[in-house]
Amino acid sequence: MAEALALLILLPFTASLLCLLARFLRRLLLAQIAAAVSIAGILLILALLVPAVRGRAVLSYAMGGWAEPLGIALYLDGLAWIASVMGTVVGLCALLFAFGEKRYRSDFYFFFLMLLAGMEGVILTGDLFNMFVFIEIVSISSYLLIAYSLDPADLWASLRYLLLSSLSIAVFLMGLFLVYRSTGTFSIRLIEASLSSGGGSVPAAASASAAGTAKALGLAAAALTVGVGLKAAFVPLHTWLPDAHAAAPHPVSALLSGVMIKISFLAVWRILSAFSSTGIQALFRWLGPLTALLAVVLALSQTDGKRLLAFSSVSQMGLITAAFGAAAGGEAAGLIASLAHILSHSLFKSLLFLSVGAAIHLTGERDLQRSGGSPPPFWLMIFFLVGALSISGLPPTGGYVSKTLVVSLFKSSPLLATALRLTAVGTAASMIKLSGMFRRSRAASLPEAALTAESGRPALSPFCLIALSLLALLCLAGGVAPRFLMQSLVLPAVGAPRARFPSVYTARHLIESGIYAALAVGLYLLARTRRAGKVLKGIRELRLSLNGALLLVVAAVVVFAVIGNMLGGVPGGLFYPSLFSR
Amino acid sequence: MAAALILLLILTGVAGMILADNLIKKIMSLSILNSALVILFVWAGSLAGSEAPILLAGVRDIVDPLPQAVMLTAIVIGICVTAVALAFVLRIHDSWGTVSRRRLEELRNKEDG
Repeated sequence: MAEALALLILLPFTASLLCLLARFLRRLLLAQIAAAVSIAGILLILALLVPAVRGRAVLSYAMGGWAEPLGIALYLDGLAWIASVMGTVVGLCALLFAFGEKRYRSDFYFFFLMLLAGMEGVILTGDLFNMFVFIEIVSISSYLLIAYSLDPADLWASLRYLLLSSLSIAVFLMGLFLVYRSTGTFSIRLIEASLSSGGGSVPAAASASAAGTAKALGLAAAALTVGVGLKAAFVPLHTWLPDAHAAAPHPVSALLSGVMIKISFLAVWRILSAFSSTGIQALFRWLGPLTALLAVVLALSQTDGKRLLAFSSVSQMGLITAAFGAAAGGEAAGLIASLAHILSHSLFKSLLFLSVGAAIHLTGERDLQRSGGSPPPFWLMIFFLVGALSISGLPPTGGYVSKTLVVSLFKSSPLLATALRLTAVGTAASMIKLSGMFRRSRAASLPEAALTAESGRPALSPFCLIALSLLALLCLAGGVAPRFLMQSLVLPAVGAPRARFPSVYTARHLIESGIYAALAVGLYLLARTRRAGKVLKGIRELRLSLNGALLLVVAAVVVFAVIGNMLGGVPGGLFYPSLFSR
Repeated sequence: MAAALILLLILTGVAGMILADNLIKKIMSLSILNSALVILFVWAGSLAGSEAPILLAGVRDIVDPLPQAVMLTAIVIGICVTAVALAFVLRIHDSWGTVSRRRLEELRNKEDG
């Protein structure tokens, strides 16, 4: 059964090679079948693994028969399983949408599957260096997918992302160096085991070196967090995301915003929990609400539909990291809320990107200010509405459940709770603004143009409809059966199967979200006034230069290393510095 | 001494990435940074012994082979990233006729505004 773990990565890899073959044979159908079959295969394997995961076993598989610490091992626990399911389901919907758009050649599916294989690898690997390799596989495929149109503006967005991401990966490598220097291994499990067994029982002679190890590992944890964290896009590492995610083709935007940033965040999660670095984790408690509030203001100021959604992804990452940071004291509630919001955001954000993508596909217009094109059919609005309700945290959707869980974590801190509530209002207002994509009025003049547009109008293929419906149904399922889903999916994954799950459908929460919705309408109307329009235009034109963004990465390393370790360092432990004589 | 030189290389790479205006120079700085990290790992591994880690009879006091092994992968990845980046710059230069970061950002802002 454990061999199946290797298959989860090998299946999309092999299929991607078939896509490359299809590229040379000029057989698009071969690539599409390979992609669909491999994703179906992953879903089948994940379904077969359910009994093992339910038994709370951690499956492990040593690649090539070489056990750790010499070899690389793959691990599948509850968290990896649910992350894998999330990636594959969103991947499936994005793939179906790509089939429906009919714009892509075989090489698109090659990079698409490489991206999926890399994400599976990041989730499953138990080795930090191997994680670096898979992160780079994800990165390189995403650079190429973002620039798939070869439009110079898209190439520039992708190149900016490439330079920022490469700098952060160099920081990651420096972190790996510190890890290897002080522990002699890259294995996450071995580091975790040594750290939790160390502490009180350290003999006096070794305690001095244990303190040095603790300091080096504290620095390493900061470097690793920034290294992967750039892809998780929390402030101040979010600068690349809006351009890159807006430039990407619609299915890729859905996959990047829906899954990729969360997989990177789960890598941060794994690293910090292995290093027991509660200080850096606690830093997220403040960084999260800051990210959420800052990004939602930027989202509200955008006029490009996809850029608006991309900024709102950053803002939602703020909620996710805030909940994770609130768990620094060791309470499971924070982790539960964080994972719940990761899952629901992956569904509603990909639904939003795909429905906005469909509207752009039909009208050929992505700017909210320019009118023109023929209005998209009214039923497209329904899919958007489900996603918009969910992201605004309104019932009966999964977003309502997870957002309520996140906000209720901050009862003791009015300041942070207010930031998160304002974020909710801002998000809802930005969604009202975005709904303009679906409310386009038919261009009044030029009836001939409208007529010709009518006859040559691009239609939406059934594949797109299946993708949208699947995501919309899953969003609604999260709101209709929250208790069942939380108990069967989320609680086991964070290792708290018996945690108390608070009821979210209480009168207080419902009234509260009603007030947010009313405030959001008010905020939207306010944002439409001329004076507010000028302010928003000013905010929109604030652009950070690439050099500034690169400098922010370096600054982030310093902040995480200094403040994070001031809040709480890594416990020392006893390690064998090298396998080989030294 | 070696440590100081490696640190200097790393700082050169990071400073070049942040300060250079020419995109090609930014990418070359990235290359320097990557090479510096490779040297760092291999150097640290070499402190463990003095012989090449080829385990024939009589060979002992070997250097740590793991950093060398992992750095092979890092070199390959570094080359891939550099190649992709240079290809992007070439395309950008073909359509906008410049490789200056400042000029590109001006053009981009003008296009949006």
